[in-house]
Amino acid sequence: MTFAESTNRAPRWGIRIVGVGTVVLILILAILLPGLIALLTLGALIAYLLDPAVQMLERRGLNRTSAASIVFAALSLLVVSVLVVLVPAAVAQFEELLTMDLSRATATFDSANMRINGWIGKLGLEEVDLLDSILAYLGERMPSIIAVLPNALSFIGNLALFPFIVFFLLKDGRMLKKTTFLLIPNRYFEFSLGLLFKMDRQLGNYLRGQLIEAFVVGVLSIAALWILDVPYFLPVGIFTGAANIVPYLGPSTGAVTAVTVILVSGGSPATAFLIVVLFILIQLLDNGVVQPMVISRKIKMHPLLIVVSVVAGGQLFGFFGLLMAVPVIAILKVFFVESVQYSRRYRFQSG
Amino acid sequence: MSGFWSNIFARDPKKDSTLELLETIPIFEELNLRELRAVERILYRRTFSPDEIIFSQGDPGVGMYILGEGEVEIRSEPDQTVLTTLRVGSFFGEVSLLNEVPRSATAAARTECVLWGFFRPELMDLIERWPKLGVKILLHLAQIAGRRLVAVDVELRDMRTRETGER
Repeated sequence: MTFAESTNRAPRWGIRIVGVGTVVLILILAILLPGLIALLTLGALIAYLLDPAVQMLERRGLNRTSAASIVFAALSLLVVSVLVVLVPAAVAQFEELLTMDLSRATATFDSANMRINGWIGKLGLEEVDLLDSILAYLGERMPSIIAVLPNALSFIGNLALFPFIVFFLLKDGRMLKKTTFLLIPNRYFEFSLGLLFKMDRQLGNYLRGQLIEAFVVGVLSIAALWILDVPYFLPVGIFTGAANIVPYLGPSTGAVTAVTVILVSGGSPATAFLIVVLFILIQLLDNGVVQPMVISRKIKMHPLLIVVSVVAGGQLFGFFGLLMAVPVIAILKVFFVESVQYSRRYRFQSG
Repeated sequence: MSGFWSNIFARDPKKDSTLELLETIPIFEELNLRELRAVERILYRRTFSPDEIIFSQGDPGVGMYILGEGEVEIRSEPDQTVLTTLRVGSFFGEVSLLNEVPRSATAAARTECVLWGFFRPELMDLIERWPKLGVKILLHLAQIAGRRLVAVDVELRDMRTRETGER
């Protein structure tokens, strides 16, 4: 059999129909099952972020399946140990935080309330009760939190599916990419391949760097708060690490939270001052040592764009949206800027 | 043919012929069977109909193509002069495997074509995963680029001699 005879050709229109059909199917699925699509996207993101670890093992001579299994096992171990060790401790501290003796805090509130009412009185306006209005606000919000619960439960159900998604995307990601590219018409093939490559080079480093940075800052904050004997050091430290993903606002939010916790729980202003000093030191360490090591290329985003996207993310998707806003905007920015710039250099001739 | 007698352990002939094709490409010289299979796995199979453009002169290049079936014409823009016609077993566009350079000519299918694309993202990925194999391929790519440079240099010298002779 000659080479020419051995390869049978799929008709061109057939490939096009399959391609368009796939896009339509994905859109329909995205509308009907947004939860599942979100889970797949998150799984793909995690698999993508872990890819260098799998590559490192492949370099040592392991095949893709074994390398992916080892990375997946290590990740599972990490997640499980965090769940077993850290979460109960953090939850216990959280509960304590929520049920702590609020007499001091109430006293602070009362004096603030009196002072505010004093000013209001001078202005000739109606007096307000600060504590009451806050409680009323929370009361209004509570039902919506309860309404979210069933959603959260189905999310946990999907969570069982999540490890499978991550594992198979980690193992077969390269093959999936190749199969997907079969559906792209010749005219746009090289363009799409080049675009994806450019995006990967810019975003891969950036996203992995952000994650490592948040982790380092989180660990350092927990250590600093623990040394200073700050109560609830675990949740506050974890929060500070996570908040570090948000530029400008994140680091100061972490410090403000820690200072508030120490003041409300009866700590001394000196400790509060020390917290601020240590948090500034952590930020300096992050900016001077960690960032240059883990982020090779920064993605420029205007501060206004960052603030607007963080607020929008928070309003649309809550705390999670707040954290994810900047990475998502970075992905979108790289996608749009690169596709416009790169497409200008192509002629897209079909012959 | 009965299932008992037929060779059920035979490899897919299509796959073997791809390996045979790869073996003849200078870039993959000295690769053993295992390495050739690894290369085969990262190639993209593309089919082109007659007259379809594979890439245009001036477009950013992403990688090279190996001609598995059919004929490809390399044309110079804007006058569409045919520089050469390539046949099965030829490869072209390998310079853009090393760097993103604009395509120096247009490649178009002359007949119905099957091309195997080997692209920079896949080469970079291969270098990360299997540095030894990556170095072998890079070395051959560099050698080919060097050989082409020598050939162009000779051509340029010939042109200069002809020019001075004409004066």
